[in-house]
Amino acid sequence: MMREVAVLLRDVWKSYKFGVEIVNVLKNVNAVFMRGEVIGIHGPSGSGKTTLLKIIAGLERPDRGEVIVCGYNLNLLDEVGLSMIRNSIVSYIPQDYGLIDSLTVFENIELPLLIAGVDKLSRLRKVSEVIKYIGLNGKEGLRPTRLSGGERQRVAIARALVTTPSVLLADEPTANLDWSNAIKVMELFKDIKKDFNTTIVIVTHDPRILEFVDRSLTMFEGTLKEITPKTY
Amino acid sequence: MDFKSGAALTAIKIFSRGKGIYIIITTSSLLLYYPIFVKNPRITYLLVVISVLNALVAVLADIDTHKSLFYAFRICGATPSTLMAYIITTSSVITLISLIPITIGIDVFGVLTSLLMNISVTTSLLYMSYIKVRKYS
Repeated sequence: MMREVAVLLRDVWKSYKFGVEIVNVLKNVNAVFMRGEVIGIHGPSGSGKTTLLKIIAGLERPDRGEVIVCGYNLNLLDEVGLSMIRNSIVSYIPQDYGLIDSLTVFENIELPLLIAGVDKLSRLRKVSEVIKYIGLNGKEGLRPTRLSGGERQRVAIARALVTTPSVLLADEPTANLDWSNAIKVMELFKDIKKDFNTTIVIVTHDPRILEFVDRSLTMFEGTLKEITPKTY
Repeated sequence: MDFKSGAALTAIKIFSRGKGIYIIITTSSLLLYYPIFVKNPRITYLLVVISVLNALVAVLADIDTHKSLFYAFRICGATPSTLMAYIITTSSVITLISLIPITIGIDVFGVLTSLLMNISVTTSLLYMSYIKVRKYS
């Protein structure tokens, strides 16, 4: 059976200007991520991993090349179009989780639905379902500052999952966790893949995380290379 | 509820739980006594300046929360108009509270000047923070 392509990157380039110097962060990046795959991108700090995730999420635009996510060519979309993609198709989990400390766990998870204009009853139902799935029962009313690192990561995953996206992008999801919590988070990603057929792209500097993914790639000085053979 | 009222609701929630609300309510309450004791209309215009500073401090007190909200909104797929709805709601609430002593102490021209200055200062500050967050996220 043919598997659906979730993300297609073709000849993607990105550079930043630091003073007078121009640094090429991504150089001719080509990749195909299939629907329901867990992909691990490993590489040292500054190799361009986060930039690649942000480009897939539509948070940044490439200088050159094509980025197609679930059939949408991101280059052709304006800021409103990219916002719609982030709200319904792609979810991005930043390394610092991006939670709002003055909102409760429930309100943080509810945020994408509030932005999407989902009615109150549906929001309540969806957020409750996700909280139960992620295992955050009883923590709904707490502020993120009262939670452990592992729990904060779970809240960030819950917020990313509440809109049931096709693609989930996680930037160093285990960087701030001890190994036992890191394993729990990676097991959760595997469950999400199984239950929702979500494509999960994980960026990490920890090579141990690659044991939990279907396919590993390595990023070094802006170029992306396959480590393990493709499974499709 | 459409997405813009969602942004307004979040803005009110965030503001009501921050430090800014305490600052602005305390200062505005203290300023209420000012026109009672100072009758000179030229000196009373100092109220306008204090009111602007009050609004400015109220925004700055919660600026980190506003920035994290802009970042979270952006990654959750808020459109630029949703973010503007958040900025305008926050600015309006701050401006309204900071205007209370002005409406009691000063004439219509003073109230309008203050209204214009307060809304411009708060909106500009929040918008600049949003642009900064957008640039670096």
